Amino acid sequence: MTVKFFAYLRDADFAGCSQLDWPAAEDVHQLGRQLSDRFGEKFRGEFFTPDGTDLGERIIVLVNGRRTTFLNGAHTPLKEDDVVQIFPVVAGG
Amino acid sequence: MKQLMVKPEKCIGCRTCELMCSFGHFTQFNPRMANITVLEYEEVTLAVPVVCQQCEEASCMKVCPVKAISRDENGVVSINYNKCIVCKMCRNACPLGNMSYSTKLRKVFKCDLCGGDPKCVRYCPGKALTFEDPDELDERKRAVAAKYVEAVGKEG
Amino acid sequence: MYGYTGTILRVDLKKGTIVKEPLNQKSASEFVGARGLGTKYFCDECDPKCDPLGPDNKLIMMTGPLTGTCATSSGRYNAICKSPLTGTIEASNSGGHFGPELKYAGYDGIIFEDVADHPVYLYIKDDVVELRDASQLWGKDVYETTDALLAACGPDFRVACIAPSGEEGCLFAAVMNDKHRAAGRGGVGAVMGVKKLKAVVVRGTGSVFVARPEGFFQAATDARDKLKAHPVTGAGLSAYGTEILVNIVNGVGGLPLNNGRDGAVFDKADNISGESLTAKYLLRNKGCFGCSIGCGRATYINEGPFKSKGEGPEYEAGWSFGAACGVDDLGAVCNANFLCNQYGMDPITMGSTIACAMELYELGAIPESDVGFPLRFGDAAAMVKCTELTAKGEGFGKILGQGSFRMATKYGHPELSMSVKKQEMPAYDGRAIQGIGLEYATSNRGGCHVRGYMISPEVLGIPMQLDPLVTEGKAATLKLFQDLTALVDATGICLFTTFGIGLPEIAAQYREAVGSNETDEEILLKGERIWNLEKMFNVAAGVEKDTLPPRLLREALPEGPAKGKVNDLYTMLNEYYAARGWTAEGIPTAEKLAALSLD
Repeated sequence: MTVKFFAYLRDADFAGCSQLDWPAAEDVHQLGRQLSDRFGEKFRGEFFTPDGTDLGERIIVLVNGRRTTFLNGAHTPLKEDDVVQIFPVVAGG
Repeated sequence: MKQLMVKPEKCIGCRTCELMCSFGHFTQFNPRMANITVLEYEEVTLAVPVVCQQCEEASCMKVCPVKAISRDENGVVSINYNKCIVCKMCRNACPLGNMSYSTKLRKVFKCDLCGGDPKCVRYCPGKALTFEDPDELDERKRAVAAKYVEAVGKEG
Repeated sequence: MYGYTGTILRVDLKKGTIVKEPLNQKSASEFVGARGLGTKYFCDECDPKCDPLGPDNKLIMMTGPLTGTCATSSGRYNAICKSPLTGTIEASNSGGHFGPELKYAGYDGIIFEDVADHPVYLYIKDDVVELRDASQLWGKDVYETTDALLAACGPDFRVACIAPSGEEGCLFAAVMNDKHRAAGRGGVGAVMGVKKLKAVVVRGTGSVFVARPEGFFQAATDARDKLKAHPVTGAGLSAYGTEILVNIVNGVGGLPLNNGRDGAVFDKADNISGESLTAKYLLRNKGCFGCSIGCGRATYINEGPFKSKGEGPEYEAGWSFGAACGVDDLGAVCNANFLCNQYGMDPITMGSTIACAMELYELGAIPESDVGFPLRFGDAAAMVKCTELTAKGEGFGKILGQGSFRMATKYGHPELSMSVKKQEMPAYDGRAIQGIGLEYATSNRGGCHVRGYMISPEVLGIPMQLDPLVTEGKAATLKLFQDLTALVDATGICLFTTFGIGLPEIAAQYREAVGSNETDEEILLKGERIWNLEKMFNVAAGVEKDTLPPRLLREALPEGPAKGKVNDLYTMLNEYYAARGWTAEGIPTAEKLAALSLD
């Protein structure tokens, strides 16, 4: 699957890139754990709530353009050809 | 004694400092009654806050004919309004233009560091104004050093 | 009076008279200030049927009770008139430093009446107010005009002015202040141009007082602390500017591509994103007066064919000159945006009108001989050229300067204008984001996103998350957002503060500033009152009914997360009118007007 990062999540102390091909993950929660293992605790702190059970309040995760809130939350299942986009909470207008 | 530091490279030109200063001292919003002024240089996209630096050799203090200006125990050059005759000589003497006079208040005024907790610093959104102990390392020194670390300090 | 200066300037441009009159305190109390108070004055004094480009249309510049105070982002003023683009009421909102300076000079607002017989500018230095000859300035752009006036009057003055676009009747001409800030939408610059009013220059040395200083400072600093702690207003907006939205709006499949013809997913969106702008062209962040957010961008294109310097672009302009035209050259997008600032034009309408022209050209409806060059989607140089022609009122630019609706009508395809009530919709596709479609349709000034910013809940999840693809719950939320936005605009602070604070913080600042003891709900009701007043003006003016371009209602999105979707407007519209207490035709009822003391 393809994982994309935006804004400061592209910085060296987070993902350090804008896009990755990622082998596989069962769901968003597992993907988050895998990415956190690779990128470190700062990323984990952003991706998850402090207890690690749910997605953190400072990020927005889209799976094929749909926010996980409107799918199955942290347990939204992932398939091989999915595109996962990870944003910090942003706004503008 | 901490020093009010100005870092123009971080100033976004919002003039919040002017507002907080005039309100803190005169309970009204008026940039002309602020002890700090932001000058904008649009052509080079730079905004520079200008404020009293509490000079060690303070011209305002030296020139005052009635000794109304003195340095207090915190190092702040302050005006004793009981003595001040509003001759405005201090305004003439300050080489940095940081002694102000208000036609509405009919008095001279300058930065007093808000008694040790300057409001301009507290509310500066860009951290262009800081209040630092001069004995501590200037963060800009660290930033320069960090560039060397980045350039030549890689492992191996 | 606290929060207000208590004085309004009334300038009769034909007679050349200037009167200082006391502020109507009843109106101020009921309609707050800026957008609300200015609209109230306008509705009391102007015939809704008046010709927007005739002598009977007035132009009102109005500040709010929080303008110029330490309430965060308090640099706003509104320019109010009947819009020549839409025929609706217009309240165009601008930041910078002009509004606060007007208050420090001692005036809450200025009402301009009639038209001058030669170009003039209004000079204000505290008590000294005079009309001065501006013949030498006529024809000069925003930068030239501002520099000339600062040289003539003094470097500490603040200038609001128009460019040749406003003088020559471009229907989306802006009033520009502090060079780069715009009362951008609805063609308020064209109204100023008809009046032969080139500029207003102001310097004030007075003060703004608040009723309960201690309580006010507490409320204002509480709001500032909350904004600082919020990830959007404390970090995101200052780091990346509003352009940060490009990727996420594209991510949810809502970034209209090629005039919306080819859906709303742009595969090159990242090239025009806030991330790219920050990495490539950002010089420095800029903040409007008293702002703790600092979303403004000073930017510099240092190489290539679009080498230029200026401010912006904002997200909307990034889209209009970018995805809407199929352009992914960020240098070109910035360049077009700089031209809009320099020549005083609304970049949303400008870019969207070029996009419409591109579709008409590709359709064969606009002959190349009319344009003078090929005008295809994705052609960055042609896009910039069109902006330049419009800025200078040359050739095809004269047609573009009328906006997309009049242009598309001229070429036989009004349905290809992506506009509501003749004003171009901004950068979000109403098919992928249902609530924003309802917002466009019901906006009192035609296609606009800042009348009830539904993107906030539907895409960004602020303050709650609503599914963008469904219609449920949108009508009630939109009504609340519209009322709150009207209130925020009327107080004189920036709408962007509402990403981090809400009604309690805004109402508290208002109460402490003016010395009111009203509840939050009573204060919010003023927002609803403003909304209904605007609506009644439009009803009396005979403005067309609330709808969307047929493309959004009938052409399903071809791909992306909203594939197959159109905007389900009429389901939401019925709910919306019910939530507003209006008739099924969308007219405020007598009961509603009575409840709002508008009868």
